Amino acid sequence: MPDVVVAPSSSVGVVLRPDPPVQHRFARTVKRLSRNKLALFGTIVALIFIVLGIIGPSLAPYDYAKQNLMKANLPPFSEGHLLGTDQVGRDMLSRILTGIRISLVVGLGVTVISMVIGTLLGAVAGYYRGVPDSVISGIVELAWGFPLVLLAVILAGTLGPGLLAAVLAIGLINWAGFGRIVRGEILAIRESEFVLAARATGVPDRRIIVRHILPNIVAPALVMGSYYVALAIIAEAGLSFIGMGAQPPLPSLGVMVAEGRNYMMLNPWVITIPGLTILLIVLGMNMTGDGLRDLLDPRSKNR
Amino acid sequence: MDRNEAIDALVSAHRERRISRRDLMVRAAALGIGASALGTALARTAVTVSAQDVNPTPGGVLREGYDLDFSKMDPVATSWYDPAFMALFECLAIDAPDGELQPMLASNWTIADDALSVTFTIDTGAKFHSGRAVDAAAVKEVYDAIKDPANGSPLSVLFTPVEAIEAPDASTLVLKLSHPYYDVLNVVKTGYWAICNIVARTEAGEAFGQTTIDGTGPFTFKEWMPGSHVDVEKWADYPGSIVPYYQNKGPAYLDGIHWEAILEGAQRALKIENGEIDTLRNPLAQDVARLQGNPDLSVSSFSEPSGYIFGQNFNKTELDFHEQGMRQAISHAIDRQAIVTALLMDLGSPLYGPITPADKYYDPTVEQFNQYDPEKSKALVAELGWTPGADGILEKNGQRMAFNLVVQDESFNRDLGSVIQASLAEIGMEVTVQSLDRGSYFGALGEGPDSYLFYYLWPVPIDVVILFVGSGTIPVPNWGSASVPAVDEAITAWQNAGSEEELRAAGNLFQTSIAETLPTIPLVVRNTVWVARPNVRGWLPHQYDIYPHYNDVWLAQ
Repeated sequence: MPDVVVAPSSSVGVVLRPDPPVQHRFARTVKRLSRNKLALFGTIVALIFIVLGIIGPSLAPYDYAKQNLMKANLPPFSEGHLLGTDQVGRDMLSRILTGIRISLVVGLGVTVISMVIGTLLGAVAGYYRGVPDSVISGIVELAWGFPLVLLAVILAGTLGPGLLAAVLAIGLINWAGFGRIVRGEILAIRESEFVLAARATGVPDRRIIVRHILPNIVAPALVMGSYYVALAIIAEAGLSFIGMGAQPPLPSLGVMVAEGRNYMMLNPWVITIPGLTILLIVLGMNMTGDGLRDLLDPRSKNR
Repeated sequence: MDRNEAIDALVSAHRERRISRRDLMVRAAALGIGASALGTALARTAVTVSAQDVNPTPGGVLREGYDLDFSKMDPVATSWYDPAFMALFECLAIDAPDGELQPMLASNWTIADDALSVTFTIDTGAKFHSGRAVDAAAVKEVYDAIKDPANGSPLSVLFTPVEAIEAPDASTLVLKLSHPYYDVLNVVKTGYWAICNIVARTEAGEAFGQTTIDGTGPFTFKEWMPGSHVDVEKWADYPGSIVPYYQNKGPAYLDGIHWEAILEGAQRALKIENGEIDTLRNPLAQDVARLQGNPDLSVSSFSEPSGYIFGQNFNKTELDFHEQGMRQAISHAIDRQAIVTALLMDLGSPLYGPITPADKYYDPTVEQFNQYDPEKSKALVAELGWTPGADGILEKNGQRMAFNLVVQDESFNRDLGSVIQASLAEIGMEVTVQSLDRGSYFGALGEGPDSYLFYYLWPVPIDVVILFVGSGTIPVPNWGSASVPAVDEAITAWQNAGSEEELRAAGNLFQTSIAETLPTIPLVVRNTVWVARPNVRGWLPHQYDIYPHYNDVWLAQ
């Protein structure tokens, strides 16, 4: 472990400050996070749902698609059905646990892919400017302005309605959000002294981008990523609600809300339980994002 | 005063505005009368408030909620008719609320002794909206157009035994039959056989039924917005009607009617509860009890001449859909009574044969078939050589038992599709449900899907089921290319019946042959439910006609 941190443009050789031990930094981060009660709450909620998404389906008491029409519309806390049953007698708990996994897989999966593509293209556009910037920025604007539902309809028509079409539709739009932010960040960073110094000493562009620029945009990308997970989850639920996403009997939370909406006056839990689940996941992710922003944004460090 | 009298007295007081809704509820509760009993009493007393109770008040626009989207209003080429047909068009005859066949555009009819011709008298003085007189020649033009293959009318098959249509004078229309065809009266009385002005239809071309309509009903066409609404307005020059059961023989009382397609199921009940519409067809089954408990609303419910059928494509021989044993296996895997209980809230009946138990031609013999028996299903597929694969899905010669099910994108259809999917999964079949909007759905049916769910609605159910199961209507509307000789023979018997007795016998043969051989699999029939607000009078839905007529309807202040 070095005694000092050297700025990414190591050739300049500016000594900044001592590098605290990793353990110390982690403890400090947790401490700062714990001071932000909302962020802590959001992080705990998000972590609970992530754990449920990983192990939940294996804990499900029933097959999520198994129907028992003679036990339809049981209320929560009925015998053998903690969260009740839906209109065709499927166990709500089993469906919710599977739905959480689907939401998280879609949310995290789309976001990781969007982040990689958006960061890569945004970096190229921001660093090289000129023609690459014009081309990539044009594509970004096109993608960002394209209506999600229309894209989903086109993809559903091409691939057939399903999770794949929904994931592609969300991903094809969300990457542009990353691309715009990353491009903006890199436009600012590329004129920094350490980048100019690296370029002056003949460091190849690829190395400058990967070693010197990208590490500086990890923080905003992470913050944005947490919001985009929430956005992707809402988008998937919305597309599934209108029949463009997961197809029955796959219990996406959006599908459950859609199927339950006609029963909301008779059996309100059929729609409120998946609705509340979506709310809590998104709330958790957004609060985590707020907390990360407060932690990682230099302007908030001195507060 | 016993309990029922007490309920009736309370309801009457409320109807006459002597007590408020709150008072009605409070007093009913004091008498130990629950909301359900109160709702039933309200329904009993109100939905069919007669126009003669008090003097009708002319004027106003009736706002009616409808559970389906509207189809093109061209009687010659329609594959579905909607409530607006009842306001815009009339037929030769009509079913009264007691089931009696009554005259409408034909003042009378006679069947020849040899049963080879039917003669209608067209002398009611009716006119088309354009002013053209309705005479025998005008009716002949409609029937000729239906029979003309160039028009592609899906109705034409029901006129197959009609070999000639003659109009020897202005008031006489003769249907010459190739063989006795007692059912012909059942055919021409339905709303599908509405009389329109063929001259106007020819001039308008494709626009007829969409932007221009020339019928004989008491209302004229104003606007059709697909997916949204249909508007009609009063025809002040309506020459009147001879239908005996109508109270009002002259022009309509209403200034107009606005039908609103409310495709989102939960919205239907909310809209009538909120007073956004005056009348409603088919709220969701799960909302009916709530509506019945609302003393501001009148609810009536009866078995409609309809049915949900599950068709398989006989051309999918690799899935053995052409094998009777496979279709029986599928049928035995479906618990119809459970569907009625859970999804229809008991507002319906299981269908073990092709038509509703409420139909006058129903043969209860069909109930020995198609009972829920998953073990029998498994045995039947095993007999055909299908065995469970590694993932539990049946396989035979490397072919997996996996297929698509096309359903219309509507809440009950989706739920029914989901139940079929889960039921067949229990016996090792993998079903993918494709839920399509109305246009795409009919497009998919035309392409011959693996399997499909279809809801039919027709005043004489056997007449329409014939279209889906007879080999003479392949590929449309026999979308599954079903071809079963025993069923074809039964259809021939039905279309050759020369008397009521022969027709009934043929109907029984038709039902049992379908229940056993399953060219399509019958599932359930639902009750039709009609809801009205208390200001609607003279509005009389009944079980012998699929929509109400609007001649007598008026809106109380």
